[in-house]
Amino acid sequence: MRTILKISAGYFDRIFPHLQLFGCKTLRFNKSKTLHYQFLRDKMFSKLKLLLVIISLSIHLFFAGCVDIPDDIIFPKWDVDMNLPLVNRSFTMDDVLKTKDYVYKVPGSSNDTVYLFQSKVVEQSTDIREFLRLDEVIQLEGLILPASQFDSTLIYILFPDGAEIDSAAFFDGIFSYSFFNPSGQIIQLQIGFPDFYSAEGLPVNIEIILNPFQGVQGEYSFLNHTYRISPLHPPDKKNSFRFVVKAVSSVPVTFNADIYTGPFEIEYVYGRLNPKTLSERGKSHPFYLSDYRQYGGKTVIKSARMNLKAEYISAISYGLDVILKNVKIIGVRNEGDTFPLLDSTGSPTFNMRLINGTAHQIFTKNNSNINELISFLPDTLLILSEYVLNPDNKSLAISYLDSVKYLTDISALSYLAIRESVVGDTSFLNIEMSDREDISSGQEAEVIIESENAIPLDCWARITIVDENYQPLFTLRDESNGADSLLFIAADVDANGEVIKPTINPVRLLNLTGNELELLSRAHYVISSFTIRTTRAQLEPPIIVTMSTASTFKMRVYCTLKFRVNNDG
Amino acid sequence: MMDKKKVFCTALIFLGCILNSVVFAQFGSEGAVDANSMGMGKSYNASSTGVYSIGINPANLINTQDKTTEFQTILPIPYLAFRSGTNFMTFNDLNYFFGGVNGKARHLDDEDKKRFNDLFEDGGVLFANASVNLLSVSYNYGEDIGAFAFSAHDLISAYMKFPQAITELALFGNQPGKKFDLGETDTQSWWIRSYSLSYAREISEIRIPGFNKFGAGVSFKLIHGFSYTGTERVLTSFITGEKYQISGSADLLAHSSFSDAFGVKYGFDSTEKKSDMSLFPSPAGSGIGFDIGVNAQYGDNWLFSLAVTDIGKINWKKNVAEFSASGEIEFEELLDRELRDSLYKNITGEGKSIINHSTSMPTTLRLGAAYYTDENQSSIPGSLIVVLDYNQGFNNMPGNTTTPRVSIGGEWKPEDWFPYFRTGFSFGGITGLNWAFGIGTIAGPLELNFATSDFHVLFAPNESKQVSFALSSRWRF
Repeated sequence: MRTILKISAGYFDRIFPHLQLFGCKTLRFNKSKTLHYQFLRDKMFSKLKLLLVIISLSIHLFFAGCVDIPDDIIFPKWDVDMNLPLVNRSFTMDDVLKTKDYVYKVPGSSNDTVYLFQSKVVEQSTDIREFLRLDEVIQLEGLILPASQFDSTLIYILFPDGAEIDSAAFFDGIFSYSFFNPSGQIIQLQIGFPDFYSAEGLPVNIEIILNPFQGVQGEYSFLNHTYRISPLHPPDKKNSFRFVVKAVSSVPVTFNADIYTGPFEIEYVYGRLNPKTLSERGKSHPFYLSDYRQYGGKTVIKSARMNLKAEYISAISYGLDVILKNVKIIGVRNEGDTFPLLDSTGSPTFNMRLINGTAHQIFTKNNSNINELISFLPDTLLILSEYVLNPDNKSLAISYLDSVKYLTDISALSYLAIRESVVGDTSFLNIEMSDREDISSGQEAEVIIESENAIPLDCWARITIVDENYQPLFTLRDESNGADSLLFIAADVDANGEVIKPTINPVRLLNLTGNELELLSRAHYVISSFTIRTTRAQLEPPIIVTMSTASTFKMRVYCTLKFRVNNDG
Repeated sequence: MMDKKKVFCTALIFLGCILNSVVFAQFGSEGAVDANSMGMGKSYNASSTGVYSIGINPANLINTQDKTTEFQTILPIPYLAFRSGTNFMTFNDLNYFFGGVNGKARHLDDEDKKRFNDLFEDGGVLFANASVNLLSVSYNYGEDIGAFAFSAHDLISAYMKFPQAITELALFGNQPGKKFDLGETDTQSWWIRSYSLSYAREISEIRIPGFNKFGAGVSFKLIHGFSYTGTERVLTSFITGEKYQISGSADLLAHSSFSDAFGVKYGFDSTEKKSDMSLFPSPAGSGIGFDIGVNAQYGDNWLFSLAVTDIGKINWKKNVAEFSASGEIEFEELLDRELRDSLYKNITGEGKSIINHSTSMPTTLRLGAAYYTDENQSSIPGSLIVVLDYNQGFNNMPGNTTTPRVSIGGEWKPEDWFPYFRTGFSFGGITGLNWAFGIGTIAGPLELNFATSDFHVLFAPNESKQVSFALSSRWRF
């Protein structure tokens, strides 16, 4: 303070000659200015000192003596009830369905809209190449043929397996021969096949030299050859092809010949092939409603339907008569359980005949046990059958590309009954860290659940809260009845299974203690177990109900959360 | 990141200015005032003179002796000004609710909660005003030429009013059927720097019997704004239904603007910002304003004053954001994150950058009368001034209020050696009734004043809701 006053005094000293003081006359310097100057300065400082004392006293009184201010501001804590709407939602059957794949909405029988569970069309193709193999070997043995300067012999030999061919292309075909010359003359042989053409489109000829007293054996392959019957070919010899043997020797002699032909492998053929039965074949196909496997064996379906179509697929003809013999359709579960489709007689096999290349059979509850098969909800569907091709031995046009195709689809409308089935689900609880802190501040919570069920489905929901390691933390309990599951009663239905009115469920109460809220703040997953049952499905037979698309389950959940503000304070 | 040393030095300089500079330039009807005026219940319209009249009535510049120079400096003594408080909570309440119990937080029972909530019956107001004078100087040449003044000062004001609905919600939760109306919510804050140039002179052409003289004055102001936040409209309300569903409507409009120096980054803006604070930051907004005033001296004892101050606008152009919300509030699913986010957005609004935003300056009408007497004219020893003021703000910008404020005050100096005693009462405005007290002295060229506008604190200290004191000084040659 002394220093400040000294500095101030020096400052005033410099400006003093110009000062104009309040209440004082303007200073004028004269001989006694030094004395006067010191008097004024002392007067000024005495005033300042007085004021500073008063100010200091005032501030001291103001803050230190009078106003009581907390040393530390400590935020208070208190309990507050927050009334929170948690859920207000209408769940439709769309929400209940586990998947929307293969589920369609169609008009129902009562001016309503119901679900159609419609699988994808399963296709199963079976080629008929086996039918185009002529496996028989035809023999012409012990022939004695002349040889001279001008002789030639026309010979007909049967196609294998009784085939009658107007034209054809062969992947392969065997013509083999064995000649013996018992004479002393050299014989020049030329074998011509006037109706066969090589892959290059050239006539087919074989030339052989038969030396005296010697034999020759050989084989010719009709690899990629075509055959086209000549107009001069006798109609009664369509089952044979012809070849011409020209034998030249200087003097007329004879020689011995053995001829063989077959097997043939046909690329396509116009003509007639004898009926042939292909052995049982088929394969498994996915059953596209297996997402509902948990209801397998517990579901009673009112109106399932299976379409089984068979088509003959050909690039060169309009069709081939085929009998699908001993057709079997079997539902197979991954565990090995099977369930066969039975016709109305109880037979597990049936036949279908393709007329003009197509056949169509519909299986309903009237002609089969299709309802039960669909209720079985297999994982795969196995379709097996034998194939009888050209059973009436008709003329035909057929190619190795031809096939017989099965087209199968199954469908069921949502008229059904479900006996008690348990559906499990684990869902992630997406709670942010800040929310977790808020939840852990909770002292208690009362959760009120109101629901109105227009879906004919009873549901017992058991909800367990688990931590990040799936360790159970606690299970929700219905305080209104003490149960560890929440019951939502189904809508009532009439005798036809139609919903009469929604059921307003009793209010369910969940009370969470502070400890449970603390546990909830550590929750990461919810493991839910829903036991469901359609209305009066416990009866025998169960009531078949209509699951209409308009059915809704309305739920309103609200809670009073009591929590402590500034709980850590 | 800004260099720590630079930040520290800047803060030190800034704090030094706050603690050591003179607060006197009035802004709005409620802003901080010099200790001289504060001591008289913030009555100043007719009695302020010289540099103290800047921002109040420029015509009062002539109310000093001819050839008088006035200015303010940090010297000779440190200056400290403080005024803060609420309109709802006394120090007793503060101690009770925020003082803790044995060092731990007080647990509020139902009665405590009711008592706490009742404090906010008329809504809660938090405010703080500060003014930092950078330089002020005035010179009265005399009747022929007039008086001139220049002032540069910073003003920092913050005001927040929140409705009782907020405390009620926090204390008692959202009770079904209870409507929560946030309509009284209002927040305003800014930091602006005002450069003003004033001129006043006597109007000798006006002659009216009884009146000795008339004066007129005008101040031109260049305003640099460094930050602004303010709500223009909050009409949001909601009600909790029987099933705890929340419904209502949202209507919010707010703006903000910050100097680049703050490095403020808005949530909706991905641009990285860097803080670079200094004593002279680049302005975020600027504006031109003016004060205009007249005064008159009636006889030897009466002075009358009329002025309109802070006429003009500030146009904010830097980092300007608009936050708005409107529409119906329907909330029924807390567990639905999308709905929750939507509700939050509905209430708090969505921000977006806008090019500019204009705000009014805290325009105020100021009327005042002062009566001067001394022992030569009456039986009262020494000299006495009695002052009556009426301040009417035209808006609710920071430091201003449309609630009129009336004040009456006086200054008495019984003896030459005795300090000036000042006291006064202020009614209305933001804080209602206040009893002020101040003292001052003139020591040579130096005038030194001390005051509080909450003198009643001394008598019922813990029942008061605000505290304030101010020291101010001016040099006069």
